[in-house]
Amino acid sequence: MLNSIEEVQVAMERAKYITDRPIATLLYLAMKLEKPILVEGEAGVGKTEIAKVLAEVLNTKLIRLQCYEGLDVNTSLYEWNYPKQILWMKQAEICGTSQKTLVKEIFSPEFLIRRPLLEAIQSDSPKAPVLLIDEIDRSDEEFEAFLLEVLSEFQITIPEIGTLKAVRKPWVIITSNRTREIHDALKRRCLYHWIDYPSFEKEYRIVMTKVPGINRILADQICSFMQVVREKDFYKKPGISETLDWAQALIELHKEYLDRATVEETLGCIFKHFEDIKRMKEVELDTCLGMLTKNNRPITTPA
Amino acid sequence: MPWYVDEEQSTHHDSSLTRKILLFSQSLRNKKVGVTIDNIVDVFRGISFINIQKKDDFYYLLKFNLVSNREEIKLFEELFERFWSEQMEMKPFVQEWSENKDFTETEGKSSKGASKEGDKINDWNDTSGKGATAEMFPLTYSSEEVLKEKEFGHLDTEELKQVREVVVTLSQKMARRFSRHWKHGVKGDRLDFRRSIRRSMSYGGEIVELQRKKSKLKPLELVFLCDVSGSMDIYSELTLLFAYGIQNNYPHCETFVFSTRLTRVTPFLKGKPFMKALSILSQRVKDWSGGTNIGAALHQLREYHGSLFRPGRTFFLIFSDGWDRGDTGLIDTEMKRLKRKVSRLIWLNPLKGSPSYQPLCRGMATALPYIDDFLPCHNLKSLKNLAYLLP
Repeated sequence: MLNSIEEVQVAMERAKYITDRPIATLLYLAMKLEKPILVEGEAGVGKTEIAKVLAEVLNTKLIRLQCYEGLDVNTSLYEWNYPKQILWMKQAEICGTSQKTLVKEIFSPEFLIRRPLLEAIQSDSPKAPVLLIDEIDRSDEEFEAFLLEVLSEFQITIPEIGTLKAVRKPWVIITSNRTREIHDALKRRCLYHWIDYPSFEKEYRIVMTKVPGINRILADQICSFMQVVREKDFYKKPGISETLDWAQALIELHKEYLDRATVEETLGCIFKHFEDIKRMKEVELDTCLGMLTKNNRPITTPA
Repeated sequence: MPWYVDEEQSTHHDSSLTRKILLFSQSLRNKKVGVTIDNIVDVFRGISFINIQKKDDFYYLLKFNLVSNREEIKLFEELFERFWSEQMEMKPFVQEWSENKDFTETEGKSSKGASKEGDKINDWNDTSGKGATAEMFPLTYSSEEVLKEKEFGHLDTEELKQVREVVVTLSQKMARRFSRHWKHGVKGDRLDFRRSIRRSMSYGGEIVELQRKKSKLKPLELVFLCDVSGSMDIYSELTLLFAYGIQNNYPHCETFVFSTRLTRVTPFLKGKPFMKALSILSQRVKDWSGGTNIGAALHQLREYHGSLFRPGRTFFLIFSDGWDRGDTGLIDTEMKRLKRKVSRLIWLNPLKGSPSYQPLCRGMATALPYIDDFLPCHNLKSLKNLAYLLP
């Protein structure tokens, strides 16, 4: 168990997640207060990654529930195994089992398909699992209400079996891209954190950690370039995942430094919309490259 | 002296800290941040886990627990700085607190020595959280802004009734999105195993009747943007009727008005009697009959209310004559971006009612390529036709 904010930070960094003080504090408080975490932020700033790395740090299972429109109880909580039930019924007919025993048999845990939420609650491992509820803004309001119930009690009622209570409360991390507003009641149950685009120093450290074999000058240039690009008005601003993709691509192309031609060739790594690429090529490229040479930021060594 | 206490030799169990945290939460509440009792309890629970000597850790403890929205972050930061800075004086906060303690009925009470801040809080009390946010970010472009209160004369209930009928017809047309929820029954295109097997139990495990299910139809969400600038003045009655009618008869709807700045008016219209809604509107919307800046309004809509727009789910309805004083480049970019975020973009133009009308003015001409349906709307009758004109 991690017993101070510093320990959380060190452990996360060891698992190659560059953790600033706020995120370390967030995780530490969530563990101590036993509250779910809700992280919001632009796409590609490392929201989902927090859960993955936390599971790795705690050396426990990661259970992931990917949300989408129409996600309901049957796909998130449990479902009966119908083919198996039908087969069993046919067999019971031949054996002449009484109706009472039959009902008891086919609605037993053996016929239950466990979906992520039930799995997280009924996890039989000695350590509490990490439950990642990804992109909750994609699900419907009805599902949110249901989730609220599960997260406050950590128990689930299945009419045919009864109430199942969590053996160990799972560590819950909910992410949202804010394509719609999450209901206040759910938000208020969680520790809330907004993850912004990283500072130059943080991004530089991330690139140096995550992209093996990159030289400092290139990493410095990439990160400075990204900082400039994010200040411009693009439809979709690039996140950290784009930075990492781009850095990886440049390594594969054996580039040692950024120049105009290289940037133009690899714009597809940074922007995912045709308009943005067009705008970059026609309007912003010169200013961005200009800023790069002018700014010539000093290279900061990771602490 | 540590940063977090005024009095000497206090520990964090001291009541002064408890009191301060409570006061701080109360101040947040006064600013419409919905802090719950549970949140405050969690702050107190959290104190024992962190090192209170570190201001940063304390800051994040409060922030993670008390804030639940990106918009609230800035407010929180400002208040935190004011509240917990070293030379902080308790007095103004205690005063502010006691003045606003009964925040359900502050309106009408004249606060004698209230600071400017206090006035602002009183102002916010009537709006919902989101409305307040919209007002917190006024547009800088205001050269043409005309600040005047609007008088609304003779709008009778008969007209209102007719508008309601139109809206109901419209909403039936708009209910055409298949939801991912099921309607159960004996008809439908999918087998419903769960119900079939449950039902079969009464026949001793023999599946006699198959249960089926089908997708439910769900209405699309609607965002209604209304132009209330000077050039639209003669249609203001129609605008109001339509906005009120749609807001109160269509299930998922958000209404905004703009001339030089954008105001979210959903909370002023929804569930209020018509006359009350009118009087609130005339007080709250400060730029009736001002200049027009469509581009800026669209930009603000996307920037601060972008989460309302969802591809394949949202109808975006604009009611404007397209006369614009702002930047057409901005209109172009914003229309392009919004177009991608909505299912259908409908522009109602009162001028189009005239047979000789040509969309030549700059604003309208710029927006035209992105519009799915360009329809006339200049009086009640044309509004009625709307339902038939929509494909």
